[in-house]
This record gives sequence, structure tokens and C-alpha cells, in this order.
Amino acid sequence: MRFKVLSKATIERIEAEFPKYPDKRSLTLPALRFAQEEIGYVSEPAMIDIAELLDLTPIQVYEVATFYSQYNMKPVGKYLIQVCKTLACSLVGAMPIVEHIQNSLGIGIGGTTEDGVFSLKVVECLAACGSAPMMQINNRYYEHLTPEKVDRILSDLKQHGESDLATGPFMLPVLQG
Amino acid sequence: MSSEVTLKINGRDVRVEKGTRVIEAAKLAGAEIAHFCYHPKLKPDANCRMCLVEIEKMPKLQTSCSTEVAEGMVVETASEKVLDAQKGVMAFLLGNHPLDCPECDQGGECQLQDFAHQYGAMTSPFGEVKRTFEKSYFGPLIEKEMNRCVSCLRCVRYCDEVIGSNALGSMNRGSMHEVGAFARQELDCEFCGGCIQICPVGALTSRLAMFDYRTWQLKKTESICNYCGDGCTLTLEAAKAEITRVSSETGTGRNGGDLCARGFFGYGAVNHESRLTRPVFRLADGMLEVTWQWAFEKASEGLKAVIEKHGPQAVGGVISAQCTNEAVYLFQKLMRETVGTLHVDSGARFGYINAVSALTEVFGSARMASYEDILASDCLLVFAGEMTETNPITALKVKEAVRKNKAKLITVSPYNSRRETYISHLPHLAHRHLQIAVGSESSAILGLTKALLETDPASAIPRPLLEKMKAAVSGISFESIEAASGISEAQFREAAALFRSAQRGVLIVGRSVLRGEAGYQSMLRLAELAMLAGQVGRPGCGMLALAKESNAFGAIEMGGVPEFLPGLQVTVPEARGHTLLEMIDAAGRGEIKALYLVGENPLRSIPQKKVEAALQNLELLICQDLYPTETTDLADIILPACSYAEQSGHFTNQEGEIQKLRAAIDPVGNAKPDWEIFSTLIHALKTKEKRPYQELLGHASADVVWKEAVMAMPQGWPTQKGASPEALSAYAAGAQITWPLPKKVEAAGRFALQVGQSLFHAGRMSTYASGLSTLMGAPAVLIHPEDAEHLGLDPDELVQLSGDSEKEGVRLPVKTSKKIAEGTLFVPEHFALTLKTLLPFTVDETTGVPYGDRGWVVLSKVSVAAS
Amino acid sequence: MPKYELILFKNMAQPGYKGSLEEYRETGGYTALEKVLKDISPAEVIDEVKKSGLRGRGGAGFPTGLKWSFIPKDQVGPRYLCCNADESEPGTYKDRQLMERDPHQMLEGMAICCYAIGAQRAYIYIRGEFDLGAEILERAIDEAYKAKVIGKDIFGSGFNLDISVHRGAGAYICGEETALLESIEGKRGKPRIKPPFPAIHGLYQEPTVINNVETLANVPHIINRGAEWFASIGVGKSTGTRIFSVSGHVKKPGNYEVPMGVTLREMIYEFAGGVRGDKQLKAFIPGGASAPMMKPEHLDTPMDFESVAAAGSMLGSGAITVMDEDTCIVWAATNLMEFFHHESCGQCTPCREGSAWVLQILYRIEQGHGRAGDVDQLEYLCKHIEGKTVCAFGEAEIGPILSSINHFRAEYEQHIEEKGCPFHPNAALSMAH
Repeated sequence: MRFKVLSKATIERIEAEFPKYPDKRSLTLPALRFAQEEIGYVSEPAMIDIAELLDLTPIQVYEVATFYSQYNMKPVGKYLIQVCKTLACSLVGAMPIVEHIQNSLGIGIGGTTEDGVFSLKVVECLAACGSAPMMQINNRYYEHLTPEKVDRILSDLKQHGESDLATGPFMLPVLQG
Repeated sequence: MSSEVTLKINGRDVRVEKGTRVIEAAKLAGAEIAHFCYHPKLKPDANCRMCLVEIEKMPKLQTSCSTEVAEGMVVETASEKVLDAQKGVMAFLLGNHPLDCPECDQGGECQLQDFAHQYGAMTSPFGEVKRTFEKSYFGPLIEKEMNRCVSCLRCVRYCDEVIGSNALGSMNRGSMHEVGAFARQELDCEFCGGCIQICPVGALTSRLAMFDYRTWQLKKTESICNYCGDGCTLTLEAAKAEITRVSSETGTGRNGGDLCARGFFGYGAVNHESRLTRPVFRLADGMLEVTWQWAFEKASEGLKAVIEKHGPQAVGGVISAQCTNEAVYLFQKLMRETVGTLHVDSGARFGYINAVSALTEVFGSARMASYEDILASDCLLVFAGEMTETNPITALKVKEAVRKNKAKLITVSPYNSRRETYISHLPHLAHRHLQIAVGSESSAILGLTKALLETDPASAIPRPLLEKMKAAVSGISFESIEAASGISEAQFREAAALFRSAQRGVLIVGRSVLRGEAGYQSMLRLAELAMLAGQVGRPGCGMLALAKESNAFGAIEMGGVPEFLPGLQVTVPEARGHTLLEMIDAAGRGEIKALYLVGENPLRSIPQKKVEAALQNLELLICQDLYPTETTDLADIILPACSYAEQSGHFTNQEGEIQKLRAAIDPVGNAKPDWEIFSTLIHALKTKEKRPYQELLGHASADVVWKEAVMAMPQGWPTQKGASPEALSAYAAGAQITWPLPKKVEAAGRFALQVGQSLFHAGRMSTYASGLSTLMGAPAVLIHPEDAEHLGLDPDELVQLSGDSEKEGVRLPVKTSKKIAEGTLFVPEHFALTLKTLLPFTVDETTGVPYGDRGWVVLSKVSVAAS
Repeated sequence: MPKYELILFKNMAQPGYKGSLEEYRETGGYTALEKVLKDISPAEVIDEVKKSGLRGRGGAGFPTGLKWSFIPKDQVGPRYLCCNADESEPGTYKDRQLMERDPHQMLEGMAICCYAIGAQRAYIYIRGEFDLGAEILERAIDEAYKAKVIGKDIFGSGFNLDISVHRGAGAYICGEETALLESIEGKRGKPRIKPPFPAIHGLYQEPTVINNVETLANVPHIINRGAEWFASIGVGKSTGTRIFSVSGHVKKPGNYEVPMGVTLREMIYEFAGGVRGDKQLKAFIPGGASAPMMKPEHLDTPMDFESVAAAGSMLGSGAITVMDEDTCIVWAATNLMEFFHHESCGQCTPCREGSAWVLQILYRIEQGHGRAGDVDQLEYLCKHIEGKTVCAFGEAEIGPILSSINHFRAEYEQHIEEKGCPFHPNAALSMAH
């Protein structure tokens, strides 16, 4: 087999992007994302597969994977909670939100709950400074956070796999009337 | 428009080439600018920010490594502003540096140390906790001490831009940036040592000689590498009696300072404990170490006895193509003049003779292309997919032409074009790769020739030759060529048209042709093909034949072969002696009674039962060598010779460049330089009475021998380069062109096996180098990953290769390699292997070159119980 | 009614507007593209944009028309437009709204730009975290292909254009235009040395324009309503409107589109409703984290490129972050330095080594381990980063540090003398990286 871990579907998903770029190497970032979507993180065999597909050496993929903060180099929980801590968020209470999550999940920053459902990270600015404090869980933003709201989001996710408290198309201030 | 500009540096007018970087212009103006990331071999990266200078009209300081000169530019390299900025950069670099110079192998040649010194003893204002990285290793040969790293990326850039191995990279970012290999694993690359050489600090050092020296204690001697025909200049660095390190200064020699694994890590063979250090004489009941006096007496008495009894033609001699020109010249003189035999041959018989014979036959010269021609070419046709392994530095020239000059590359080889993970691989770089069936080189030459003949043959080709060529291909169809080679008519036409349309095309031929069946004929056909494509006889065009041995060209040119006297003067047919194989046969028949073998080990190089019987049949066998071999075990007298590192002389590389070797250390033990042994023997054979051997030495030094050899060369030597019109028209008139009919061989469940050279070894000598045997200490059979998977083979699993499935064969572990084509196998030749006995053995009709590197084998799994 | 006429936010300010292609066309969308393709030559488009005085909205404020005009006219071969949707400057969240609420506005701007510079391929480089934004854009691009406003032979003009979304993966530095190019090429986001500039050797070494989302969103309006109309908005060389993102200690944080030249006081006290809890204003950042901090005495500075620069800071990305009287300035500077240290690409010495060094000193001061001379040392380090780096990140990271020292040196000294932070409630530092 030419590929060690990536599924046929993921390989085809990457290949489907080839026509958009004159150079296959441009697929490095998308390929890493697709791989992470498939296996939860960027594993070494996944990077070797990507290198093989894109005609690169594994280190050329690894260089990129370790540069960008969104790639998980190790497995993480089903829901990766990323709370922004940069200035605007911290001014209005990001760290109390982090503490609240730590207490309610019983994990530290960088930790994963024993059931593997949640991981917690503190991250830099996510461009939601007006609706701080905020967090990103997997691919959705949750804003204007309060401890109560956080509790609901986490329980929604655990129970239903989604939460209607996720932000939709963004607008601030919200339209009057 | 002038190609020069004038600028002012520190008040001084400087005139330099356009495109020069300010840092280089400043150097010419006598102002060395401190730097780390700048290196003349690399594209500017301007990351260290050390080389900042002030340029008039520019508000910010500029990095002089990335700024090109401009007319009227005014540069200050040492103003207060500049010094302040550079001091700042030094403070940043030294902040987290461990300052562990006393235990750093770079100490004494470290740019950080030098520039820190230059900027005054600094009390670093850094008062924080130092960042520390754990020490790690790039595999068994390279140590990485990230704490010393200045993140200049010279190692990564060299690996990418020059070698094309892409084995090193950056990881993480910001202040946690590190250089390293994939996922912190050990490196698995070409091990060219370039990252160590180019590191300006002590971040990357060789583990081969850790803490063995302080750099200033090393005695440095510039010489030529012994491991292939590329002819690289290297600096042998010795502590006391041992070679401790090898380097090559940027820009020097034919290699421009680049080395391969063999050059950089292969020096350990010189001081290996197995070296022969004393003459040995065979007694009835064993071997006796003797003095040189005894050895010379016994050798000359033995030779005299054979000559007296059987006549001079009962003596034969063969000398290695890794011996110097001086050695070869004196050896052939000893044999031809002193002994009076016609039978003298050299290791060039194993293939390179095909190149020199064919090129001189067609063009009147074997000096048909240089590395400069490769670099200047816009299209390269390479019949050597294995070039990275056999001739790594010449392969670098090809890569440079492709990357920097956008030259088109056509490769013809049984390898496939998949990327071998961290080994640069020419077919992978090729714009057109003709992936031929193993052993079908001559069919590929035929296909290309036919395509050229039918479309657009060059006009300069002699008419009679053209007619003969046309006649020779008529009646051979592309279908039959495709059946034999696997290459379609369209592919041949495309590749031929590409090469034909080049402004400056160079044809490179490697061992798969020179050591493949009918190599001499193939070489003639390639010479014709080059003419057909219009790629000879104009500047920047030509043909280069790759040599395996460091002095293959020189061994032939010095007269070390029966067909040529010194200076490539063709011997008359009746005075032509035996080739190596003919000597073996003659010994078998009892015609040759004494053999003098210098660095040759026919018991291993010719896998034929008859060799041992022939050697046993001799009355006298003299072996002169560096190490004990299968053949020295049979010798009556063994003479210990000096290696390349212990003697002076000259090598002639595959371009025909004659280069000087210099002794870097004293002879190991009691070994002697080859020339000294021959010079002594010449006089010993001429004298009747016994004399101290020192008095018999006829030449005061290698230089004296060289002067004599040069005098023996024809007039004008060695300036004749390129085709001579007279030779060409003579060839055109006399040429007889026949093509072997293309034949398709059915695999029938078998694999096509190729035995060849590994990047990490050259012949057997390199296996004595601990650095190289660490990289490859045992043979394995390389197989395509999908074939391995199909057969259910795990890495390192033992398999059996045999002539047919019934017979016991050779057992080897498997390794997968993406460059190996499906259905083929590759085994390196450097380890004592009976493998070659499985392969068909043929001998070239014209040149007597033995061929036995490829054939069909059955691969079968060895069950655990059976093994 | 808004106080000033909305241009970029006009559509989305209509109740129920979802940003679909159909809705966008109902408001006159893609007529500007049709007009240029049918009636206006590329050179004239560039002239029009030049005349409008439009300047880059990403931060540097470079004249857009001039940037387009640097693309070689006669050179054969591909050329590219990259829309910079990396929106990473802390405090800034305007492009997110433009993309998610009215994606066709910027797509139309991109198409016009591509026509003007002769590009047939454009990429939207969107930060990886904007997953929703990327989905919305991808949907909008699909709509646009179906409606044939991008793709082959647009409006029968023979002009072809392909647009794709390329997602980043978490790196502030990729907002730097050459780092962005490296990232699209599939490499680490390391800014390139300049020259050569992207207009000559950009994406895949071909001529390339990189423009911010807001910049491109303005283009259809300039074509529709004319350069003179556009130039009449704003002040001096700062023409048009600008979307300011207000955050921090204000009552009504949000994105406000106003003509350039409105004062900071108006932005903070009128639009954003003033300081939360009616506390005193201590300091604010006028143009994203890399803009030097300002103090209340600067409140009457008009928000245009020149005036903010004259007041010692920069208009940058138009992000205003407000800090009230209880904010510890050393803590705020440290928080931002954590950000910059985390985001430094690490390629050049002063930034790689300097950011870590500065942060270590700041941590010590904030945590009560400051030493005499630390503030001088910070200044020394900042000055040896400034102007010495490959890209403008060097200037960015020292902005908050040097300005906070300038304006609040006594507060630093107080930390050192008192061996601790006088503002305990805020003293928690994440130190998470």
C-alpha cells in the first residue's frame, strides 16, 4: 500500500484540491487539516503519507505541522476547548473562564478529561475581541462567555454533540430592531 | 551596458560585477563583515541580521548579504550605528548560548567565537534563565547541540539547495525553533557531511572524532579523494600519525568544496588496524613477516627465475586504477621495459576502458566534457540513473544545472522516478525519464538513435557515417525496441527532440552502460548519438563517461593497459598483450607463470571458478595491497603499499583533469608508496649483485617520476580536448555499425537483479572506514515497497536469491526502496558475496571487459525455522 | 439612522440580509464588475482606484491603486491576487463580519482587481480558526461560479477567473504578506526578505497583489460611485470610511464604520458608549496590538493615518482596545508580549531571541522580581529589535513595550521597587505556552 494510515476518502479529498494550485506542495496545509479531521491529530505516519502524496520529504511536512498552532501533534479530546487569553479577552475576564472550565472538568491547561471528551487549551487572539471572553471548540466560536453559558455549552456538546450557543454569521453590535 | 558597477565602501571606491552582494564587495574592499547565515553557496536568507550595514539614502540598516550592489552606492560597514546594531545581534545570539567553548569541537574555527572576540570581550547583559534543548543526534555520525545553534539554517538550506536531499528542516517556531530531522528521528540521508561543514558554530559536529583534537592541532594537507572518478579536492586533517578529519574548503577543487559520505566520513580506512604494515613471505609451512630488503630480493629473484625459465611473456602484471599516475607509469615501465612482457593491465579493465577506447576511437580524445560544460548546458542526457551513488559530486553538478540554470534533464535508467525519501535521485528530478528494463541500455540507445535519424539529424555529422547509421537501424522496428526496453516510440521521439534542440547538450554515461553487456559497442553508439544530436564539437557540449575508480582515466593514459602505451598511443596489434582475463586464462593454460597484482583481487572481482585454479597454477604470485584479501592469501610475497593519504602523486579524474595528491601522514607501519616499490624493483631486476635496497631506488621522489612520465607523453599532451576532425573522418570511413537485435526477456516470476555501488561505499576499501560501515555494514537486497508488500515481506526479513527456485542461493535481508522499479532488485557489491556466481558472466568481444552485474533471480522467503 | 453613511456595512445593516448572491445582486451587486469588464480597460480601473485615494486596510495603509500598478504590464505568465483574510492583529475582528455577512462584496472587489492586474487565479487566505467564515466564502464562491460572475468568460468578456479559499492553520505572522505567500505555497510562514517585492516575485515567484478584505470590499463602490465620491469621504490622504473594531473596557464593543478622521473620543465615548462602569480611561491602543499605546490626552486625535502617526502611534488595522484605570500596564504589556513571543516565526535573531528575553524580564517585573536597570534593559533590547528584523513584526512587538514605558515608566519602577504588582486583581498571567 502506498499509504499507511490515511483513508482513501482523505487521499481523494486532498487530490480533489490539486487543480486549484500549480504546485502540489501548496496542499500541505489542507492535507494536514484533512488528516487531522480524519484521525484527530497529525500523526507521524499521516505526515509520511502526505509527503508521499505531495512528492515531498516527510520533514518538509513536519516543518509545516510544527509551525502552525492548529495542528495537534498529539491526540486530543473529542472537543478541543480553546480559550483566548490575549489582551481584549483578558481585560474582560478570560482567565476566570479558564479557571471555571478547569474546575468543572477537573483538568489543567493542556489536559484532557479521563473520558477523552474534552481537552483544554489557552490560545492567543482568535479575532473575536469585541465579543470577549470567547472560546473556540473544534470549528465553532462561542462568545460573550459567562460561567453559566460555558456550563451549558459543555453539557450541550457532551449530550448532543452540538450547541445552539455557537456563533453564527458574525455581527457586532447586533442590529437594533 | 557595462557588467560592472562602482560603489564606495568605507570611503573606498570598489568596482565589482553587477549582481555582487554588498558583503562580497566589501570583502574585496578589505572589509570583512561579520555574518552567520551568509554563505557563497546558498541563496541569501538574511536571517541572522549580523551583516547589517549603513547604505546612504536608505533609512534602515540593510543586510549586506541580501543587498546587491548598485552604481554609486555608498556603504559604511563599521559606522557607530552599524557597530551598535551588530553588538545587539551578538548580545541576542550569546544570550542563550552555553558558552561551552572548552568542550566544543568547533572551538578555534567557530564564527561565533571569532566575532564575539572581534566585538570585544562582552559581559553579556543576559540575566535570565537560559533556554536549553536536550542534546540529540542526527544518527550515528552527527551530533546536534541545539544550544549552540544560531538558527542560521545553513545546514537546512545546504541540504535543500545544494544536495537536494531535503532531509533537514526547522521545527517549532519562535524562540523554540530547532533544526532537525523528521519527528526528531535520526537522520537517514546521504550523509554528505555538508551540514557539519557548513555549520558556522558547534551545533553540528562529527561524532567520528569527538573530543579527539583541538582544531588548531590538526595538520592539514590538500589532496584528492580516492573513492571515485569525480576527483574531489579534500583536506586531510591529521593529528599525529592518523587522519582525524576530512574537510573541503568552500569553492576549492573540481567539487567546489562539496563532498559525499565517502569523502567526508570514509577516511577511517587509512588507519584501519587491518592494514598490511610489513612485507610477508610465504614459507612451506606458513607466512613470515620479513624486511623490505628480504622482500625486494625475493621478489626480484622470483621474477628473474621465471623470466629465465619461461621467458618474459610468462610474466603478467595488473595494477589498480586507484594507484597514482606515477605508480601506473612506473609499473608499466617495470613490466614492459624491465621484465619485457607485453602483459600489463589495470583495474580500468572493469569498465572504464570501454569509455576511453570508444571515445578515442571516434573522437581522437577522451577529454570530451568537463563539469563546467555540465553547469553551462541546457539539456543533459544521462545514462546513469545510479549517478548519485556512483559519482555523487558529478550528480551535484547535474542538480545544479537543473535547479539553478533550468537545464532539462533526461535520464535513462532501470530505476523508477519515485523519490527515494532522503536520497536525491536524478530520475526523480528528470523532465523526461525513460525507465528501461534492466539491461536494455543498448535498446534505449537504439530507440533514441532511430528517433533522431528519422527526424532531424545534425548536419555536421560526416555523411558516410550518417548513411551507415541509417542503414544499421533500417529494419528494426520501434515495436521490437519497445518490447525490449519498455519505452515507446513517442517517448523516444520526445526525449530525442529535447536533446536535439538543446543549445548546449551534454551526454553523461555511467556504469550501467560501461559495465553492461557489450559496453564498448554501446559507447560507440552513444558517441554517434551525441553527434547525431549535434551535441559534440561545439563549446559547452560533449560526453562525459563516469569513472568508478579515482584514477581509471590516468591508469589507461599512463599505459597501464595492453592497448595503449603512455599518452594513449595505440599499441600495434602484434605487440598487444593480454588483458586481465586473458592473463588468468593464460595462467590456467600454464603460459603465464608469474603475476604481479597491485591492489587487485581477482578472486573477488571475477566470480569464476577458473580464477583460483589459474592462480594456484602460478610459480610466483606477488601481491601489493593495503589490506589482506582472498588473493593475498595465495600470494608468495605480499608487499604493503601506502594508501592515497600517505603518498604524493597525481590522479586523472574522469574529465581528464590531472590533480595532485599530497601525503598527509607518514606511511602506516612499514608500508611504502607504490612508485617507490616499482622504482626499486626496476633496478633490483637490472642488477646482478645484492645491494642495500635503498641504493636501488631510482627516483628521488614522486615528482621525479612524474617528470619522467610527462616526458614519455606525446607532444601537446594533455591539452587535446574535444573531437579531432581527422579522427572523426577516419572513424566515419572505417566504422562498422551493427545493432544487436532487441530482445524481450520474459520475467516468468523472476526478478531482474542488479548488483552495483552504494552511496556509502566504494569497492571494498570503504568497508574498512568505521564511519561508512556504520552507515552500511552489511548487504541487503533492495526491493520496491509494493513488491515487498505483495510478497508479504517485512523490513529486514531474510530472503533467498537463487538462479532457480530449486537451488540453494544467497540469503540476505530485504530493505524497501522507492527508487527500485517494481520487478527489480538491487544488491550492493561491497561485501564478500557469492551472489555474483548466480549471474551470467560475459566478456566484451573487443575490450575484454568482464560483465556480470545483472541477471534474473528467484526470490523466495526463508521461513524462520529454515533460517 | 446611523450618524454616518454606511458603505461596506450598508447591505448587512438591512434587517434580514443574509449575504446571498441573489440579495447582493438586488442591491446592485456585480454591476461594477460587469461595468469594468464591458467598458473599462484594466489601466483605467487602476487609475480610478489610484484617484480614489484608497489605502490598504490591513495595517500599513499603502495606496492600493499604486500597488496594483506595480504588476508588470507586458510580462507573460501567470499572476495572482491573494486576499488577506488572515485577520490576526489582536483587537481586530472586522473582516470576519465583512466575510460572514456580505461575502460577495469582497468577491466582486477581488474580481475587479484581478481584471485590473490581469490575474486569472485568486486565493483568499483566511485564518484557519475562521471555519465558519471559510464555509460561507466557499458557498458564496460556488454561487458565484453558478451565476457565472466568476469562472470562464465572465459576462461574455472573455475574462476568466478562478477563486479559491486557502485556510491558514494558526499563525499570526501569515498576515504578513510574504509569509502569507509562503503559507499558500505549503511552507512555514516565514516572511521573505524584500526586495524582491511580491508585485514582481510573489506567489510561486510570479507577480502578485496582496490586499486586505476591507480594501477589496471598497473597490466595487469606487467603480459604482466614482473615485471622486470616494475621495470626498474622510480627510486628506485618508479617504473613504474605515471600520473600527472597538474592544476592551467599553460599554458597547463592536465594529463601527465611520469616515476616516473621526476622533478617538467619538469612537470610544459615542460609538462604544464610553468606559465600562464609567471608570476613568487609563490607556488605549488605537490600531491593533502592534500600535503603540496612547493616553487620554490623545483622545482628540482624528482617526486617520497621518494624525495617529503624528501622535506617536499608528492607525494600523483600526482596532481600538480600551483599558480602564484599574488595568496594570505592565500586565497588559506582558500579555501582549506573550502574544508576540508565541507568534514570532523565529527566523531572524533579534525577534527570535529578543521576544523571549523581553518577555522573561516582563514576567519578573510583574511577578515582583524586577531589578534595578530592568526598564533600561527593556528599552535597550527593544531598540535593538527595532529596524533590525526581516519583517515589520519587530516593530510590532516592541510597540506596546516601548510606548507603555514611555507613558507609564513610573508604574514599571513601582513594580520593581515594591517587588510586586500594585494591581493584584489583574495579575494572573496565563503563561500557557
